[in-house]
Amino acid sequence: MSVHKSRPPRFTSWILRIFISKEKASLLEGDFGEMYNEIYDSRGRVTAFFWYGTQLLVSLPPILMRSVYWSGVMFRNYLVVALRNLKRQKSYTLINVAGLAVGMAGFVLIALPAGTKLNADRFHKNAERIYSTVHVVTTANDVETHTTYTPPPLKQALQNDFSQIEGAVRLYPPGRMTVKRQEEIFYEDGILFVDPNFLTFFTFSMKSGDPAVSLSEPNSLVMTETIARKYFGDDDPLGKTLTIANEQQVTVTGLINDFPRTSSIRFDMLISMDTAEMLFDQFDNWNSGSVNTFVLLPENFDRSELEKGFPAFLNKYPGDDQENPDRMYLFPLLDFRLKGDYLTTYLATSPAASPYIIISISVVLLLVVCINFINLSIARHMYRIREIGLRKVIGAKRSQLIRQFTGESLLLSMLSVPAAVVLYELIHPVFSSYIDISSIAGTASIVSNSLIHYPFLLKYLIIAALITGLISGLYPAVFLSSLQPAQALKGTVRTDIKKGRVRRIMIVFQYSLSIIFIIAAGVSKDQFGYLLDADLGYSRDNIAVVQVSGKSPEEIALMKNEFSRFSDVLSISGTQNLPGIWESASSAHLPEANEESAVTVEAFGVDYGFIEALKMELTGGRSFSPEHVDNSNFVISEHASRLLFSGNPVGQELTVSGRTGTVIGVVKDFLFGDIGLTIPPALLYIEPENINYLLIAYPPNGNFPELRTQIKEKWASIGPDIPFECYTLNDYFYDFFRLLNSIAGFMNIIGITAMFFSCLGLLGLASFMVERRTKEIGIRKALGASSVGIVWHLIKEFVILVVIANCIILPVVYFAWDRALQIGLQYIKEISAGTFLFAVIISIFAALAAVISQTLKAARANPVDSLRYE
Amino acid sequence: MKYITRKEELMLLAILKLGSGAYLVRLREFLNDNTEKRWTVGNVFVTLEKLEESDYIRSRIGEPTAKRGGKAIKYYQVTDSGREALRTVKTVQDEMWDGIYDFVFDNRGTS
Repeated sequence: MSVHKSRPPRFTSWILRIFISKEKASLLEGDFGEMYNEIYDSRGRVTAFFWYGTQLLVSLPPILMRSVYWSGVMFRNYLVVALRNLKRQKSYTLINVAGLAVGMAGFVLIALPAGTKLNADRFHKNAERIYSTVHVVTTANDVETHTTYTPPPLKQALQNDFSQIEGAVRLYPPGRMTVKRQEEIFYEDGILFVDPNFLTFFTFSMKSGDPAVSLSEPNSLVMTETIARKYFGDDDPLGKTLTIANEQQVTVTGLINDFPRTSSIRFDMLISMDTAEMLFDQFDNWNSGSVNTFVLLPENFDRSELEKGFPAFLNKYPGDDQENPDRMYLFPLLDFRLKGDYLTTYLATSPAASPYIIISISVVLLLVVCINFINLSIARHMYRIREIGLRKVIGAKRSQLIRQFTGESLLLSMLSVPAAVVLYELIHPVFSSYIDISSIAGTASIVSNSLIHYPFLLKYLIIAALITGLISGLYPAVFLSSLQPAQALKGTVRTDIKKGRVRRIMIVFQYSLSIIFIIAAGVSKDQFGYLLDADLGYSRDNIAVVQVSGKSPEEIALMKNEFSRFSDVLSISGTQNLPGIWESASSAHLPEANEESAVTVEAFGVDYGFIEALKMELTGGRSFSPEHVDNSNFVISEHASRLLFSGNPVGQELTVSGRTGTVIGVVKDFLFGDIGLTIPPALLYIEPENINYLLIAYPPNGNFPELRTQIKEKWASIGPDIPFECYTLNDYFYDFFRLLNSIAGFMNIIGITAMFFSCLGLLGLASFMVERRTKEIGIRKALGASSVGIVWHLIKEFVILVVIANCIILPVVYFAWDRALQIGLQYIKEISAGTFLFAVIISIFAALAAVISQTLKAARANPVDSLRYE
Repeated sequence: MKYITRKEELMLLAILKLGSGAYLVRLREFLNDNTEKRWTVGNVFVTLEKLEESDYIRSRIGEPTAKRGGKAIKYYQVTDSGREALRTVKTVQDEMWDGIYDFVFDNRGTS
């Protein structure tokens, strides 16, 4: 027979080798080759090629079936071996499953806020077709504001001009209002006036009532479960009436289920828009930006087509030119939580980067968990080296071994999923206050953080388990499968692995990460305390606040008169708003200058005695005093003084928002608004009409609870028909900085979890080391070493690891924070030496606690037993 | 005991008929010529694998030849247990057929 140069196409061998072992595939290739050549000889190359291709194709199914059958058989074997191993090493399994469960529950806890942001508002049926209108308005100082607060007539005008709009709805958040049921009266922050189609436009699930008609009648009220319980207890609220703003009766027509955190539209009560039109009068006003207008566009509709018509539409605007918006565009509902941070809006938004930052933090935590898992499994697999050797001798391919071990770790991580779910359900209520970092109204009606309400968390959990299992399994799998069969059967392994060098590096890494988290927690706590104590230019101590919104100056004067009789009251003043988040930008200029040169200053309306009550420091002139009738005069801050006047401002005239008065005094710079990069220029004026809060100063040794009771009794006798709210200014601030406090708490969770894992890793290493050195310890003891000496000798190694971790990470953290300080953030504290010391001590003590039991056990052991070991 | 399948039975018979020249290519040829079924390479291969695994046949690796692209030939031979398995199915077959042959082939007794 002649020698054939022709060979069957190369791809056969690739395909065959996927499914059958190399030796068999080679023989089969031979058979294929022979037939190919026969056909090649008799019928030519093309026929041979096609025959070959089809033959391969039809041959694959039976071969494939066979390979599946075999992997099934092997899979059963792997599963049996894996389960036997897990059963045999019960404590190991327990530690590992528990560790993974803690890690993954922590992961989910951290991922929750980020997850709610990424999944925000998707529960609405038409979510991706809903857009909010945004107006771009230029305010004084040429600052562009993007706002979703638009004029009430906008909705109708849009629907008239653009036939593509399938539906539109308006939301009007009135802010704080009183709600009265019989004799009880409360403040409600979560009221929303909405158009009748609100419940069909959006998809909130209703407990009772018909979404289509519940809000169609004027004066209808739909409330959430939580709020219904607050007003009616277990009674059926349907058909009951409440009085809002002390004048309008509304009837409950529907009950809405509490909604998840994923909702950016939050509320406690929905009231029909007609009622708002009766209560407030600006509803036909094109100049008032007060409602959020949403539109529904057709499916697969490009919103820019609609936006093209907006400039012409705006020109038709019947409003005042000055107030008209520059531009208008549509903003997708689904983007609010992720990209809406720059908007002025009623909806919940959050800084754009935050979900990704949080997710990366949780991934780092997951990494710590993985390292821990790897550490533990390397030690455990040492016991299985002979099994690996045997499998290799029998003919297991390396890829099979890798698959086996990865599969085992996947099995373990999957086993811990149910444990993580249970753990999460147990711990989420404890941490809910840390997660609840949104400060907008209507948060009372949010469901718990249970997985039932957030099914996507389960998805995260399973993905996390898969990733953890894969990463954790891959390292030991790749390393163990690389062993030489002969070595493995003898049980000898490369010594560097036996000495645990890799594990040491990983432990240092783990500790470094945990130390970062611990310092972060310490810093946030420090920062919180620092902000509470920060000098903002006034004192918050010993001030009681009583809310008197909506009361006439006469009634307030009566109250002041009554309250001032109490022995503990030093003085009573009033203010339009409370320092803390008070911002009130106004334009100010000298009366002779034109309006173009106006600068923006914060102008705060207060009552006489305000400066004294808050102990603001006068640096020139005098304070407001009733004797002088300062009703049109100003007290300005040093910053404002520098900005507006070149010399001494006292006695000079100033025009603020069209009102001209005399500057009578200068105070040191103060900050009533949000803590930011700079302290803005500010001034105070006497506000005669709108005093919303009374500020009652009491002596440093005064008893606030007693004072509160006194005021409350008097309040009842005056009967002002508004809810009684009284607290200290310091409490108000504490609440206000809760966000920061929650960040500290958040960091604490991560820090503790990370530290826990680092300790687990150390514990694993310690027991491994101690066992390996049983004989050495025996010899040391036999030669007269003391138990304490041995413990110290063993512990030293671990302490060194932790110290190394500290040495690496502390400078890094220090310099990183230093950079942050250089950027120039105000009111940021340097990291105290205490925080660093705390991190060092905690990490060392945690390490000691983790290894002490193992080393003690070893040191106490009878040297005779130790020497006989093996 | 488990009976061998019809496919396996045919394969065993084919191996016996081909004697010392029984390897995949010839077996497939033979089966395609003598049965009405189309045998793909995969079918033949998998059937042979199953039989070998159950010890009904054993194999011998021959010399690599140029015609096969330098790959060796795997020859098959029926083992004693293979013969035993064939005997079993044949006996059962015969017992089952006993007395009804005429009914099936002459198509009597049914309408």
